[in-house]
Amino acid sequence: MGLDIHVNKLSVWYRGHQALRQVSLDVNAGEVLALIGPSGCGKSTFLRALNRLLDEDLGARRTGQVMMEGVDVLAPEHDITALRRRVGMVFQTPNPFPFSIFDNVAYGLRLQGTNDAAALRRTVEESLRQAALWDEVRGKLRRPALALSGGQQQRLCIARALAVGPEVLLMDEPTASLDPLSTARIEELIGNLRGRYTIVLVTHNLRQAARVSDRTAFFAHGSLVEIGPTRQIFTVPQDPRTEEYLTGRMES
Amino acid sequence: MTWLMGLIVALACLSSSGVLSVRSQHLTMVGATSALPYLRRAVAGWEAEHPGYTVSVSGGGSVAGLIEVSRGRADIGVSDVRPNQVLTGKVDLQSLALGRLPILFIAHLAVGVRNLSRAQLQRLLMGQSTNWKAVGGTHTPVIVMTRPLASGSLEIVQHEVLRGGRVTPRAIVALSNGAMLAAVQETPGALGFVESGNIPAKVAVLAVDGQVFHPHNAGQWPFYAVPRLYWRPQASASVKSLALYLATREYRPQYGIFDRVS
Amino acid sequence: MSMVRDRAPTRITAAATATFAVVGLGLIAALLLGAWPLIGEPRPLANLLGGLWDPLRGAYGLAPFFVGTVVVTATAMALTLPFSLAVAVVLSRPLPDGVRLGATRVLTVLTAVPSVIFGWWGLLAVVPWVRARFGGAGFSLLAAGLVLAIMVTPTLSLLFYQALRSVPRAFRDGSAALGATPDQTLVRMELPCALPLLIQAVLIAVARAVGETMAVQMVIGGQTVLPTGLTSPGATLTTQILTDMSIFPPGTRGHAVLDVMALVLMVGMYLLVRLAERWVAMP
Repeated sequence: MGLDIHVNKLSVWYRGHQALRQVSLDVNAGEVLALIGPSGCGKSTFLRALNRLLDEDLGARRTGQVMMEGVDVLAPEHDITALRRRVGMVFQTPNPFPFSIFDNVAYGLRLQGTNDAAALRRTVEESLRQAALWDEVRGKLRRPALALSGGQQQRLCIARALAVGPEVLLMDEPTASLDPLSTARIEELIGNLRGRYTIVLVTHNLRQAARVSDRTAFFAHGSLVEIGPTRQIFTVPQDPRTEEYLTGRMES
Repeated sequence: MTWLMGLIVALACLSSSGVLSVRSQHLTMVGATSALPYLRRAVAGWEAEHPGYTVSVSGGGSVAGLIEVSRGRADIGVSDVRPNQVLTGKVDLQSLALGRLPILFIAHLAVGVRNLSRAQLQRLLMGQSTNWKAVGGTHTPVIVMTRPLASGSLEIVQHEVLRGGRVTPRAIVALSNGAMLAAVQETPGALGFVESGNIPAKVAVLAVDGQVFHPHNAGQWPFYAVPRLYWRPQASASVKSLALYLATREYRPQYGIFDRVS
Repeated sequence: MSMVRDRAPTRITAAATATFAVVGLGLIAALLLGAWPLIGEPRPLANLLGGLWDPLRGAYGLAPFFVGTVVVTATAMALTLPFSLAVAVVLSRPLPDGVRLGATRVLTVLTAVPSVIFGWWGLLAVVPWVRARFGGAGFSLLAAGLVLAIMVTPTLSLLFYQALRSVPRAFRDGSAALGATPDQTLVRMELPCALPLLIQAVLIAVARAVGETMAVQMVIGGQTVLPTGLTSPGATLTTQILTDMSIFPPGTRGHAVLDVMALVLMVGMYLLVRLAERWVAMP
């Protein structure tokens, strides 16, 4: 199902340097939105504003609104924990904790106070199935997560995010550190999750954006240059900067 | 190969440390800290009269003084502990007394007692009386303060006052004369002893069997340590000259070291 | 030429290692040799584990000092652990850089304060406080524990802070992104992840506490019988070595006891390290 997100004039400063300038865009429930653009263009900052991970950084300041179901989740009084349960995140480098596979997936549930063994087992299995990892780790849930391959670790991180029951999944270059085969599996997984979750995917891999996303947004120098259906962005971009970026990159 | 070199260097360092002491016209003294202030002044006087000689004086305690001199690592040892086989081995040390260093019994000001019989003092120090009330003082538990086993004053207290008895093992141990004084000043109910030639401040100096200590009659005070200078029988003439000089200076009483007054 | 230069660091390292090995093994050998007259006697344990310390009459019971060492160290650790951990946690949380730098600098400077200073402070502040609060002489295991706790806190705080800082930022972000509050992240992720380093830090602090002599001697009272409680005076293995070292020249039976005490300290520390290793894999 997922969730509609309306971003309204979002600006972010890091220690005086403006990283995001007045970004306004909508993400539709259940779609995969790809964010592309050169390094340092503000894509990751945008992602981190959506689940307020920016708040962990003392040097960051922001203005603007992010509306979910009519509520501004950036408002100081909004419950940050509740927000992060609805908006899961997967990072650039797989970051499973140095615990067992089971404990990694159960981590978020236990935070919420779920200690019932049966319920935990059920959700862990279901999340691993959704993340297409179950068949590989079945019967090995007590093994350390760090013994898994990089691609498996990233799918474990996806399972860990799914276990909390989010409606939105933020993915920050999830395949940047993976080999092509693992990358393909993650992309396939994103395809399977489409429709059930609203997915915002930051990627440097333009082919990936073209393959998996419904719509694509192009960022440059902290501003949103243009956003539209992926096919349109890649074939007939409206803005010359988008075309420059796409052609420059596509040819290499 | 490198390992072997390292080994050799390390062993050489370890073994050479003991053989580097070169002695020419230089004399060394080690021992009891109580006589140190006096010795420093007197040694300066002797050096002035004997050009070409230098003397170093260091503390370390009576026992260290005896050990160092008997093993030939010092020319003169200063000690108020009597030598014994364990400390000095078979060396038959010669000695001269510096004089008497009074040992005063002191108590916290609030114990309510200024005079004790020797028997009372014995019972208190040995832990048999545990409250000042038992000797006519206030209702305060007695806290006995003592010195380490190596201390000369402890040996004299046990020998002269306790007649061979032991200070209670429940006593608090102060490492130095100064620490003892400070601890007795601070601790309610404290009873201790210090080597001192004058009346220490902020403590009750106890009279024993009616005898009251005063610097004017210090030579008659019955409890005292006798710091002595010790040297080996084969010591040079200059060592003996130094010892004689140190043992006979008239200004010793200024440093709390008194002659016997009969 | 370049080969000689390249090999120089290796040689220096090897020489340093050799020296260290010689000194370390030499120390242990010297202690063993020194302690042998007593260990070689019939029934050494019965004598050494007894409660009576009267070395001039040949009674070398070390029990009071074992108890003193264990109680003082345990007291100090119980007092300093929560406090040091709290300091480390505060330092590891988002803080203005200047504050963090200032605080770590102050702590680093405090680790260099000589122990005699802590001893003096204990004599002037802690001993009177214990006396006023609990009665007695004030010189006590508790006073020693308090002084040690204060003394160890800067070191332990810094070591704890380093341990927490070793947890990658990515783990923290991952935990926060799953909806963990900072406290949940601390308890459920950071502490478990940093556990080996935290335990290593505790071991270093325990070693420092067990080995500390001067500051403890100044406030513990030096009583050589079994302590009856936390507020009663006592002595530790190290303070007793300090107090009675000079009365036993090398080669005497009494000196052998001092060597035994030093050996016991080393063996005890070794056992503690092994115990910790068993509990959690050391890095």
